[in-house]
Parts: sequence; structure tokens; C-alpha cells
Amino acid sequence: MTRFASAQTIAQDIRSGKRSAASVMQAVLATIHQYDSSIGSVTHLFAEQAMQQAHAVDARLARKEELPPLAGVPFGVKDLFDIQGHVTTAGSIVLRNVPPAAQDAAIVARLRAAGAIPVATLNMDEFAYGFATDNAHYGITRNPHDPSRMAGGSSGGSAAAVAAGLLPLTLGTDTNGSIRVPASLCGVWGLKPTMGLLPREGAYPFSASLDVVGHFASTLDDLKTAFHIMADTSPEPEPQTLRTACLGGWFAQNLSPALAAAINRVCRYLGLSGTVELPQTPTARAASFLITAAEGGTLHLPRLRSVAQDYDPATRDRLLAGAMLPASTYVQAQRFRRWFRGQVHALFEQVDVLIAPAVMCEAPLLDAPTIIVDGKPASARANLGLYTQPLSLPGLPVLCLPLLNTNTLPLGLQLVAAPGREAALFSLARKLEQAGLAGRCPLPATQQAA
Amino acid sequence: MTSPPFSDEVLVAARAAAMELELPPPCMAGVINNTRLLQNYAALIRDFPLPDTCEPAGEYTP
Repeated sequence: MTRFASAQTIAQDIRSGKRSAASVMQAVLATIHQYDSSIGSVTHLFAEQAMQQAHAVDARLARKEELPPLAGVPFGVKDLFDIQGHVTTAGSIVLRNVPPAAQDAAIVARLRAAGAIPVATLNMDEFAYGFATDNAHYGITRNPHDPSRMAGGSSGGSAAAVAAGLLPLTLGTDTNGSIRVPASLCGVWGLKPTMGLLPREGAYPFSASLDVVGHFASTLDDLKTAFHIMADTSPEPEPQTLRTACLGGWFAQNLSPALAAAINRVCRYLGLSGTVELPQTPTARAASFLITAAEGGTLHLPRLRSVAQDYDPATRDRLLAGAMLPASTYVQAQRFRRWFRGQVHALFEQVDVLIAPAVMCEAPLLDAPTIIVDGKPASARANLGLYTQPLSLPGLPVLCLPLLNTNTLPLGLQLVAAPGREAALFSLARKLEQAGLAGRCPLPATQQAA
Repeated sequence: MTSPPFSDEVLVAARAAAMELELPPPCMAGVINNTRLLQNYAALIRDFPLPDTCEPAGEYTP
């Protein structure tokens, strides 16, 4: 049984000889074939190559060679990471005729060097522009907890594959919340590391000054292990040494009652009273939105002049509007970003970890994609990033933590630290996990069998 | 004296013309809606006071 097994368990079983890597891979492929049709997370399977690599792991073990830490562990990648020999589509048909990738993306290569085996590419919003993973070319990825609801995006396939127990570990990218939003809606762990910490080579770009590569996992241990493999990290500080505060103001508005109660439980457990506020949060969100639109639009402008009709209409119209933004608007947004970054860095002289909601509510229905903002129904697609976009602007590391025992569909928190302080995030997340407040949200029994 | 407001349609047409960008008719409604959204965000940052010494953010060095 590999469904819902953690990467660490799989690696340990293979290393100890309890299971062969080939049997694990066969089981993973069978699980994907059986369960993915109801959620649509996978866009391409590397079945043959994955089986060959699994047999190679077994051969190394038979020769009594020392195995790397993730030997035989299957993983998936958002469909914008290069896999050697495979055409990287970035969720679009626009790139279908580009040559196959000459080499793996940098972080794919790091995981592969640690023994992990890429098994599948995973669905996304076209060119990563969206929060829904509703793709005109490759279909909708549905939420494994309730297939009538959104998985979130743009790395929705990566989050859903972990939530459904198909893969223990997947890669994604986050520009405005594209790891944190789907992690929250699907109830899995996600990490957007410090901007610039992980190499982006071989990850198809969206917004060059905001894009960050990161990952999803079914357990906190797997999230941390994969991060340690992909990046140089420092030891975890003791959680009692961390100065923690809850973000108020913008981040306390529009919360669903269940999420507000869950945040209160976390704050009570941590002994937090009162909140701190980020200055000019709506303007920070606006700046993030504008920078993304301008950089994404400019990137695609040459193709939009010639093959606009090949784009997903929703993506195309956003990119065209962004490409036509005046230079003064873009530069002013980047100047504001400099100012905002200084304010946020100053705040981290007084605290180590900030706590904020990830998304204000449960996953919206696919056929009624609205959420309540300021008391009124609003487009979910335009507003699911309400709490993630302002925190994208400075470039801080953010860990998305799945809350337990909310009696709802999954809800998530953002744990936010100063640049390069991912270890503090892992430490606080561990404390909340041990208290039973956080962990991968189990699927309802009806969906486990679906 | 302030200039009369542009309609969003006129604004989009003018921007596209300035860039010699031909907008296919099926795009127009979506581009206008998205431009309207971006205009609202641009208004938030436009008047935010920043010192002349505040440079655009560049590479982030953690």
C-alpha cells in the first residue's frame, strides 16, 4: 500500500528491503490510474522511465551500494518544470512545438540526485496565471476533498495529487500564492521559500521578479526533508525561543467563522494576545498584482501578437491588459515594493514568525465560484489571493500549514518569517503539529474510495 | 482643470494603438475588464508618497 504513504516511509521501506522500489512504483502508477480520473491532477505520466529508474534503485540495493536519502521516492512536478527529454508546456498548447528540455530543471535535478523519481507532470492554470487550475487545454483539477469544489491554483495539480494520496511530494511555483492557495484548499503542507533561495533554472517563468519555486508534501517531515535536499538550511531553533505574533488588520477581515475560530485556537495555544499589522497592505496587494500583470504580459507579448487565439481566453485577456500597462505604473509598483520591504524587515526585528490566514474560507464551488469579500459576493478567482498577494511582495519565506479539527473542508494558515529563516517556520509548525492543531487533512471516507 | 475621463474602451484602444498591437475582437471585452481592474490597483499606488531616493526594487538578496 503506497497511497498516502510518506516519502520518508517509502524511502525507509526500500532501504530496509521491506519493499522493492519497483513494487512501490507499480503501486504508485496503479493508484494514479485508479484515483486520478475523478480529480484530474496528472497531465503526463513517465511510467516507463519511472519503472526503469525504480529497477535501477533495486539493482543498487542488490549490489549493497549506499542509497541516497530519497531513493525510489516518487514525486510529481507542476507542468512548468523541465524534465529532460519532455516538452515543457507550462499548461498551454502555445509551447507544444518547442524542443524537448535538454536537461532537468535545477530543483528536479537536486531531487533526482537524492534518489527521487519523477513520475508525472501536474495540471496548472495556463502559464501559472490563476488561482483555479481551470485549464482550457488540460481540464479542471478538482478538490480531492469534494470534487465539486476548486483545488485552487495555479499549482492545483501538485496540491491535489498530494491531498489525494497519489504522490507524497510534488513541486510547484508561487508568484502571488500559487503554492499557498491550493495547499490551503486541499489541506496539505506547502512551502514558498525565500525568494532567490532555490534556483529557478528550468522552471518556465511567469513574473520574473516575483516567481519562487517550492513544494508540497503530505507530512511536515517530508516538507522539511525535501527542502533540506533542495537548499542549504540552518538548524531549527527551539520553538520556545521564537517570538510569534498574529497579523491583524487586513488579515483579520473577511475570515469565515470557522477559520477565525481556528486562528483563535492557535493563538490561545501559543499564548498570543493582540495582533501586529503590516502597513499599507491593500497597496502591497495592488503592487503585487500590477507587477505580475506587467511582467507576465511583457513576457508573452511577442506570441500574443501572432498566436493570441491559441491561448486560454482568460489568460490571454489578462496578459494583454498587463502588457499594455504604462511603464510608470510598473516602476511605481516596484518603488513601493522597496518601501514595503523595508517596513516588513523592520517588523521582523521584533518578531520571528507571523501568523496569517492563507485563504479566507473553504474551497469555493466550481459552478458558483464566489466568496464573500467585505460582505458581498466576489469572484473567487480574483480574490483567493487576498492574504497571499501582499506577502508575496517582499519575498519572505511562507509555510502553508493545514489546520486540523476545523469541522470544515480544509483551511490553512500562513507562517511567515524573515528572509532565510525557514528553520523558524519548521520549528513553529512542528510545535503546532505536535499539539494536534496541524497536519494533512484526511479525505472523507467517501472520497478515499472515489 | 482636469481632463475628461476616458472610457475604458477608448483607453484600451489608445494603448493598443500606441504599441501597434492589434487586439482580436473576441479579446476586447476581457481586455477591457482586466484593464479596469488594473486601473483600480494602479490608482492605489499612483499617489502613494515615496521619497525620490526610493529606487525600484531589484534583485532580492536574502
